[in-house]
Amino acid sequence: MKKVTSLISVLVDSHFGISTKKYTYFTKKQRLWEPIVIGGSILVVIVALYPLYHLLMRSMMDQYLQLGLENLFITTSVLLTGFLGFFFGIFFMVNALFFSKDMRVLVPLPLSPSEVITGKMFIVFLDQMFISLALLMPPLIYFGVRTGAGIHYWLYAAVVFLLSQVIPVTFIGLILLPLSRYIKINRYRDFLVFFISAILLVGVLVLVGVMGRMEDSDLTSEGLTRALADPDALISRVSVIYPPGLIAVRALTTGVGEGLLWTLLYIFMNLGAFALLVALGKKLYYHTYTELQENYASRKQFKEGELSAFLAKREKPLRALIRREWRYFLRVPSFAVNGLSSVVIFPVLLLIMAGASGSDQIQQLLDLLEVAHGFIVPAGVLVAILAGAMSTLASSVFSREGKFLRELKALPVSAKQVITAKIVQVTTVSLIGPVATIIALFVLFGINFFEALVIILASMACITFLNFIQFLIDVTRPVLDWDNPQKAMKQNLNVAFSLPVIFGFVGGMGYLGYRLSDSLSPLVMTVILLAIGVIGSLLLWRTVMSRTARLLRRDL
Amino acid sequence: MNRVPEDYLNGVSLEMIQLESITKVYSGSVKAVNNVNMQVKKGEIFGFLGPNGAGKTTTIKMIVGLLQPTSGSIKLFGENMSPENTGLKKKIGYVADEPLVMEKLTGAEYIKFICDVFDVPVSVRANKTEQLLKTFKLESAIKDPVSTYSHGMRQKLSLISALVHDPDLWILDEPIVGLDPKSAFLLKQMMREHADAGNTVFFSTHIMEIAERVCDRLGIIGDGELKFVGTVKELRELRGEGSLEKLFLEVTAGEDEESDFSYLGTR
Repeated sequence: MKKVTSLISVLVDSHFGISTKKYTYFTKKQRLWEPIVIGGSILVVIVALYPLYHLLMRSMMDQYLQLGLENLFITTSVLLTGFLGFFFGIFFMVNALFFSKDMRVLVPLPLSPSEVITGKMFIVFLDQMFISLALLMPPLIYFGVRTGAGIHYWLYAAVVFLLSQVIPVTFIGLILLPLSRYIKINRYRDFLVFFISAILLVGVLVLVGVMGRMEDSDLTSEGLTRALADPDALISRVSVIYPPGLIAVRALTTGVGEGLLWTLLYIFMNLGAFALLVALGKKLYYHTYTELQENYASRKQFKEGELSAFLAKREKPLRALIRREWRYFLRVPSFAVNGLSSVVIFPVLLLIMAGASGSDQIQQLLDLLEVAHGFIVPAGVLVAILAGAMSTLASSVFSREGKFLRELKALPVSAKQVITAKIVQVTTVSLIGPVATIIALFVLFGINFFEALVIILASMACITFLNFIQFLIDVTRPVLDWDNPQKAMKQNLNVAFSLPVIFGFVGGMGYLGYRLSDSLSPLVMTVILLAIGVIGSLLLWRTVMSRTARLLRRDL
Repeated sequence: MNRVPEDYLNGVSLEMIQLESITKVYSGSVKAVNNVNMQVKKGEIFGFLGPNGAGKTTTIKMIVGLLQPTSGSIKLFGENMSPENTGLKKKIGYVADEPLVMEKLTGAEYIKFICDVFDVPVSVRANKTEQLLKTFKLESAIKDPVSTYSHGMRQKLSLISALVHDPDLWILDEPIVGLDPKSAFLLKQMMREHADAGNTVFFSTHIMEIAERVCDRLGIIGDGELKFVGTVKELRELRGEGSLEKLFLEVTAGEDEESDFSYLGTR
């Protein structure tokens, strides 16, 4: 136990850079602005989002109370937290178990696989707790306050909150470990685990879609009456998608005695799942890990004239840099998966809606949107902006270089060439967002070619503007010292700083559009968005270039 | 292909590298390099020696523009070195202390990228690459991703990339580390031939035997200060006879005392 505690404390220190930060801030008294800026940004996000969040919780709770289904409020939060935990957990787990460089230090140490897995899981839980902190804690508090819950509720809620990420993470581990053990395709080792992740993700989406259809079909007529008559049955049906959620909800909503039993069951279920993972890990983990470290190499020579032909395709330095960007992006799985998945996630959600449009509720929503069909172009532009700018590639554009920024600096290329190559690559990936959006809008609303073209143009102008802002955020303080590519993307604060900018822009423009919909035509709105994008991009271009040059002049 | 300025070819100016009062201060207080003055001439192999943490890599990084000196100036071929001076960078072949090669590219893709950014003419790149690959015995690995390479193979690829554009000035930070004996031998020969052809090699090493056999002149740095610059003969004249290793330890001070390692066997 002492060994595990020591391991966990070292891993936590290393993962969050606690000693480094303590040394920088307290001993060296350097970069003191950093915690202030980080704290300030978090505060700004909380202050900015709190009214909206509160409004959302209040209206949801009001609706559920009217139907006598207030427990569904908790169910929704627990389910959402579990699913997002599952989604993000895939990436955190894969990196922690198979790609983290600290494994090179840990494997030779006299630590058992179960000790290492326990330590690693603890780190993943900590990372995941941010999801629960944002999506579970506020609803738990709101529900407790609104319903005047007793002391037992708060105790059980604390347990549910603290263990909320155990099941998603252990579940992923239970699937990942055996699968990656038995699919021995060393040649594609980088993509192996991400391939498994993608299958799992698609599986969950399909399950959600199927369950959603089942629920919808029953909520139309008599089914709805039956559901309202028996709220518990409704919660049970909804929780079939995520059974641990049902136990958590029961623990929180069934009173002192029964709640205690459900809470104990919840605790044992989590501990049991974790014990199973540790037991499985003991058997498989080191074996799987070492196999994944084996490199596939063909060790084949070029045939006669093949090398000459390969090298004869001369490219200008800019083109060579662009090719370098693409190769680096596509061949580092976490860059490719994060970058590509985030640009298609919103359009995919739209298409899932389209797929489920047979149900009454979705059809009603579509009918409502059809009424406002005139505004489909500016609204489509905003969705396309959200989809394209969310790639997180712009806000990690220099961080993703890591130590290779030194290579760029040593090469005989100008800052303008470096940033142009990066802009071309990031913009091309961003373009997938608007393209996927217009496909979804075509399926949903049958937009015509001209509308699609306008949406692409206006959104790309705004995306370029927003990408430039994200470039400026990353160029100011790039995260170059990382041993795990995830640290350059998902765990990069620059990405976190950029999200309020994107959501703020889209939300702000959406709100203004809604308020001014009587006085401004859809065409004017679209032109305004296009103008903001073009002018903003032109204004920022020089700054982006000069800051890049400054970064490349900096000591690296 | 970029060549050295006329003055250098005509022998009017002989200094390929000029360091004038170079100082590098890290974090506002740690002097990694302190007031270093040094010239490296055309046609010579200059060995840069020093214990770990003496300031060798910091000095080399300043020479190639990766670090900016806190004070002082650096001139290469008579021109001020700066990160923006792409023309000057094309004349340098730099091998870093750790091979900086993108793991996800294949060896061939990386070399092609280097050829493109260094503007190596198509007519010579294949021939040059083939020769270098053959010299360093890397032909069979060139189609594989760099992630499959050993440290030594990465070092070889770094060397090939540094030399494929035929630079006049080679700046090599610990180039021998990781190389097998044959490749190390060949590299030493290549360095000699390069210098004899009127070019310059500046390299750092810990291996005294290489420094003694290969270098025309040495620079010894310790605690960020240049302790000695000159030939091995001059060092012996200054410090007396003895192995270069002993003289090096004397110059860098205090590391030659008898050490007691008996504690290693006790539990």
